[in-house]
Amino acid sequence: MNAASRPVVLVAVSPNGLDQSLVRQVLLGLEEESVPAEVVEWEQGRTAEELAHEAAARSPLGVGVGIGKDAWVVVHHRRLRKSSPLFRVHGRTCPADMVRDAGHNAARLVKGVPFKWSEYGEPVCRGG
Amino acid sequence: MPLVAGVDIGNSTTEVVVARVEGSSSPDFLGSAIVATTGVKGTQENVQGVLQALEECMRSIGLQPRDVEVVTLNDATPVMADVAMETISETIITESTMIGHNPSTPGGAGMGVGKTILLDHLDMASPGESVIVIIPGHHDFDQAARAINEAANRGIDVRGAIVQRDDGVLISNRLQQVIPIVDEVKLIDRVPLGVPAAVEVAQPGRTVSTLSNPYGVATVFGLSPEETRAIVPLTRALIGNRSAVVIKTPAGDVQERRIPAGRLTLVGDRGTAEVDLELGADAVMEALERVGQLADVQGEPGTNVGGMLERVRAVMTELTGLPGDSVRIQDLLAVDTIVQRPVVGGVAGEFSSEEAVALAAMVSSSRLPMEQIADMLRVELDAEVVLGGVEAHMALLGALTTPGIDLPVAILDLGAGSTDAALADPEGGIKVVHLAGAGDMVSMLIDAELALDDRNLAEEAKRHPAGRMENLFLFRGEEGDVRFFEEPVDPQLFARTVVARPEGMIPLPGDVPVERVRAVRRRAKEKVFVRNALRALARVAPGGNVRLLDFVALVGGSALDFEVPALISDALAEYGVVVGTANVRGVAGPRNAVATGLVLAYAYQHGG
Repeated sequence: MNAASRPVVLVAVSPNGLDQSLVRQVLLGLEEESVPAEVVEWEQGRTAEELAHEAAARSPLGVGVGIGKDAWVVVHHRRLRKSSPLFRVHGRTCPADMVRDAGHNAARLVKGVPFKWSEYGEPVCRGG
Repeated sequence: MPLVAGVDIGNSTTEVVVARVEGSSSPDFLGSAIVATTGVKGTQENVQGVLQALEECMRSIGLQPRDVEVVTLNDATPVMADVAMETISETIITESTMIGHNPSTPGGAGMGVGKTILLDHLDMASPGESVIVIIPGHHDFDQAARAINEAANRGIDVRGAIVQRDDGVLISNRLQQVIPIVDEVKLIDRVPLGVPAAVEVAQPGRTVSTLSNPYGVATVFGLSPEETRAIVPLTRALIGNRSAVVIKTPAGDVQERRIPAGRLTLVGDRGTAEVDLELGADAVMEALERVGQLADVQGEPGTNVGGMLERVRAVMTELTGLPGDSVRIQDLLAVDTIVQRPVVGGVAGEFSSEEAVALAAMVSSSRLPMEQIADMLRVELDAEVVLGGVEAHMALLGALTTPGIDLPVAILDLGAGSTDAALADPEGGIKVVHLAGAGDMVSMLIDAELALDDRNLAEEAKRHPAGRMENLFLFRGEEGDVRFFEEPVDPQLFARTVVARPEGMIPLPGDVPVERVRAVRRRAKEKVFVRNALRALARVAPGGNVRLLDFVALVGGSALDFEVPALISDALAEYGVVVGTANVRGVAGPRNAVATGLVLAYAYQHGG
């Protein structure tokens, strides 16, 4: 298990059976905000929430994104309890833009900039 | 031993106090209550609030409302106040000639000039041509970047881009050269095609310098001196933006409309004065001083101020039931202000600052509605109901129950609708004045200057300090105070400027800095309360000289404000006047002064 030493947002993903387009959208959101990110693959059998929480704990910026096989995308912060992440988006039922917004918001959490909210009043679609 | 209730119906609250009045001894105050005024002050809808307050008060002392034998009611009718506001300038940008906004993440940096062209039409451009690419939302950033790179390889000089979606940085990162890219332009289809345009993106932490400078724009487009003068309002609207676009339309139809603000005619006991509203609020207030006690105000018909006064008159007519032509404005407070208005013709939700004047007006009316309220209370309570004296006089009596207070003292009653003053000298003489403008006007100014468009939110922003949620757990207040939270706050509050209400923070819309919220709020309070405090005290002070006053006690709901007493205290310190907030009956603070005064006045009249 590798941990980043650079100041990055860690994006932790399941190694197999993952929808790669979700990873791409999250990374695009982070790139648009000019916040560096690093993708790590962690062992199977963990939920997006667990991945995100651990990624946040290991990220020097304290922010992690977890993407699970079940297509959940979760944004977490080091100081939040594992069971109450900041944002959850379901990648299969929500539009790609909202998955990208999760990347934006992970970056904004680092930058201290107000979050991006969708037209539905939610920062991201909770779906599923 | 009759049980007497003093009832004060105010613009925003109805206050009661109940006392046992016995012979010549001073009344024995049993309890008090405060509720929100129902309906507009001085109308029959007030009865419901009065009954509610009485019920609350009587229950707290173990009695029924019908146990009250005498109700003494404030004479709420002498004054009613209303506020209105009107801009005196307006920036109109026709033919959608500018985009000036602050997308959080524009792409690239620098300044580029060229003809506008749709991304899809790039292949029709000829080599050597300078273009600004327009990228509507259906294009992916990848596709856009590829098309721009291909065009550049064919020798087309791509100088900048205007993008509908939020992907300026993504496009920029995939280009071979750095060009300024403005993104998040919502109404991109309003951007005209085939015309010269300039795109500027400042370095991070900077603001645009060329497009916010009239000569900069003139240089870019080769404008004549006349055309340069015409684009001044446009460049002014772009000052402070991180990125901007200016597009030259064939007609160059950018104009600032000066709305004829109109003239006010002030009729007073020392003469008549005409003043042009365009000269600003100070000119109005100086003219007001010249004409003496105001008898009425007229606005030039067909102008802004004419319309504004008509609205005030219409409201007053409705409230008082008096015919419109017999409604006379007896006091006026004019205040200069700045309002944020959406730019007409903007394409990205731009705002510009426009000058405006706010007016508070005060009207006196007949006693009729108050008599009706008294009649209704008589029936409801089966009690004797009397109309007490002038409000400011009663407030003074109430304030005099403050521990440590002594005559001579002046009081300032800072309410929601009006600012009143009264002065009692040791010989028992009392002077009273009512002036237009108080808490409601402050809320209106805050609402307009911060572009909240929400009067309730403005009310909260007036009552509480501002601050910012630095992260999910840390709040930093406007005075630098810091608070940590055990649990993360609502993500809606993250990195936002908020009103720090004890019951919970409220985010303010837009990206307004904490310092600006504080400055706007304090300035609004100074413009209304400090100015009115000085005006009111000058009217009651001996010889009109505020310096001859020694002590001033503050009463009324706005005296509870967290900073108004200090602002007034600072201003009056220059006149050598000591200011303190009253503590009515030693328990009620600046509240309940009028209600308490009503009971005291009744006791003096009916005492042994």
